[in-house]
Amino acid sequence: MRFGSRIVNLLGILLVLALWQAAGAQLGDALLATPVQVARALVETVQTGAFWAALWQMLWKMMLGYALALVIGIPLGVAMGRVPVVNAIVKPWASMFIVISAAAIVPLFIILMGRGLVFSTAIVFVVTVWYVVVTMTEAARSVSPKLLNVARSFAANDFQRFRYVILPSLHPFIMIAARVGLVHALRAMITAEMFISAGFGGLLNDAGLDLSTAPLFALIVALMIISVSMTSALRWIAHRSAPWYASRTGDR
Amino acid sequence: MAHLSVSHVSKSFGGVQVLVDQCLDVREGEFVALLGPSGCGKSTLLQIINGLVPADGGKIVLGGKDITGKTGTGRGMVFQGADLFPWRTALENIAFGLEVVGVGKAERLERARHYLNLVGLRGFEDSWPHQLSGGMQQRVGIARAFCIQPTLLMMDEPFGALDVQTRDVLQDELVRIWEAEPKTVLFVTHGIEEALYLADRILVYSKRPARVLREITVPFARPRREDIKLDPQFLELRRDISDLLRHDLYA
Repeated sequence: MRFGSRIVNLLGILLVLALWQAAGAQLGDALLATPVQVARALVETVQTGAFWAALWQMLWKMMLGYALALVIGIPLGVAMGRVPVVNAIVKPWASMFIVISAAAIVPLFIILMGRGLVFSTAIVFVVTVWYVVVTMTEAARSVSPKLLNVARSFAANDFQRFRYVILPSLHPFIMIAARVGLVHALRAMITAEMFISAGFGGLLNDAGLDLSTAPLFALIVALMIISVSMTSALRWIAHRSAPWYASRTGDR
Repeated sequence: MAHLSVSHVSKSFGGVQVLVDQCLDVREGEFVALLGPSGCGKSTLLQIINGLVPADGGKIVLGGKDITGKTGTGRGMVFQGADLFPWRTALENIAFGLEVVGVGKAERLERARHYLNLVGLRGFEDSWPHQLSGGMQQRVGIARAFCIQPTLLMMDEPFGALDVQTRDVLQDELVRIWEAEPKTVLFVTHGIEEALYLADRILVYSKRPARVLREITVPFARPRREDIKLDPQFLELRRDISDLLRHDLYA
């Protein structure tokens, strides 16, 4: 069954690549580079030092804002899910800020903070934190009152109920929030860098000016590979650290 | 002196009276069934004795100690839907109560293993609850309550969610385990046959607010086996209780 669905996956990818190759061959690489040209450009790109420098710069700066979003967003979301007052105060802001895209606030943040580390960290944080907050609010709300009662009936105190019931039931959702947050953090970081033409976003800007679209596609493919491998790593950690949840949800 | 003594307990939820001035004395080692229609308040009484729900008034004394409004201390509870922790294996679920009171890992797992074997789940130590059938989950729930070696075991319609065959098997299992480790039991149920088969004494409750319609001392000797369910006296008692409940319901 799983093997079969893998084959369907692969066939789907191959089909799209074939269509892309055909379309690219028709339009020419100034409009749409073919997968073969993109692959060639990707190999060239990863051999340059500039690519790795830009990638490294983007990732570690992003990690700052991302980590901050998790450290603040997880407790805030849990508090919102468990304490009605906190929810009443924060919820309106959360639902307003969550719709703001990075591109909309970058100009303002440049005026406020310049183009340094504070700027990129702030952008990533502001865009990411609300996704973490919303995920964790729902998670905290879904903690089973029945199981809390079971713990209480075995004379568990407040701390023990947190440690033995609330924390384990939040755990899988923390991993989901980390995964959802990472994708948004990455997108926010790229957007910010494109505005200030630095790092990976700067490379994307430059590639956009190239006569051929192959280098641009190569960078986008590289970005996809990075994003997919990072979220896969997080998923793997989630499955290892909460095997009960992975096994209950069918290990997808 | 009674092992468990409930005196003058009242409770209402938002103006609706559920329990009015309820008293109940249970001897050490006695198996008492609280029988009544769904929603009559018998579960609420159990939760008050367990300390999960505060009573509006009244007092609960267990083994000479006032335990009104307190959880823990000598009481083990088996919940209706088993309510196992999904992130704990069967064995870790059974050991939960011991972990709360700070028993070391090696010792609590060893003691949990004893009860896991007692409820017939040898080989399922490391299964997650969702991998077990409903009946097996409730076996874990029973073992979890026994594992803290309570003097009072409380069961809140423990077999209500199970199919008839599984329920019959688990009733026999419960009797077997209880005979191996006797303790005082309060068993809430709406099954007449179940109450007659398991209990030493049955308190038949009215519809809400719950009061005792009749107290029945079950005359069958132990050990009891499945065939007493066909005994003429068993059937007669069963019909009496059924009539009693029906009259109350339409009174």
